[in-house]
Amino acid sequence: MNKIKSTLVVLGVAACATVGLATGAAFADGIPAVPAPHGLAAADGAPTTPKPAPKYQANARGLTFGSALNATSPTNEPDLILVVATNGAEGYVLKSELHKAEGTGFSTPAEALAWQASQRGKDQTLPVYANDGVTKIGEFVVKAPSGEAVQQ
Amino acid sequence: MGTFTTNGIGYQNYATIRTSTGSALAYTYTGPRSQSVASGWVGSRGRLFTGGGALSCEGANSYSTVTVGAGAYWSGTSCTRASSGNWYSYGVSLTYTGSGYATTYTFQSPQQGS
Repeated sequence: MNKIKSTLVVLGVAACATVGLATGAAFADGIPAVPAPHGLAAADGAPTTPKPAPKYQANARGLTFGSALNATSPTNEPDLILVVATNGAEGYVLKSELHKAEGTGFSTPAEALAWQASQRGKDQTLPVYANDGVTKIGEFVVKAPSGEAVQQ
Repeated sequence: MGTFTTNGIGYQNYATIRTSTGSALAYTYTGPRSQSVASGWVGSRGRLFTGGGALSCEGANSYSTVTVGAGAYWSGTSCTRASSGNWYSYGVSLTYTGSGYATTYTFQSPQQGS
């Protein structure tokens, strides 16, 4: 029985490692030197190397643009973030406008919760631009905060 | 499951997608690993990306309004995208540092179709 359990554990770890590598993530115990995003730890004690920061194209004004899917922190997101506008077109929102709408930069929990209370039920609409960051092609909606405690 | 430490407190986070035919919704879960944290100390933001990497739907940061116990989570959601396609969930966690909030991304979820 113990041998069967051991085999299942090994297979489970191997499966986790496969998924982790496929998504650029590292999270399983005992897997050596797997690239991990900045700011994240794998399991306790597991050795990791930082995932390289993504590179982006820049427009004529020097603003970088591209997908935020490969960014590993807010600091290495592009200036213009690729989004799907409400009209279905793909375009870009300004990172600075997006982060403001998301509700960041608070110094205390009281500030964060006061902001959250003020945003109840209020979606925020941002302009979506072409990659020049000027030509407006649509709108992007950031939904009002929505969350709950989950016991698992 | 990602794990990280903020101000001496260990946290864990992960991102998931719930899909049904023609719609998708991203969830982010953030919680302390071994001790309770007070209300407002953790936040989660759901982000839903298309298979091509465009941010399709996002919710604002949701900060915990109750004490979150060890092993429990505070969730945050994106909006629901009523569309068929392939999706990633790539969430954002916020944890109180004592003077502000640290931002930590989850691992990307596997791609999932709707």
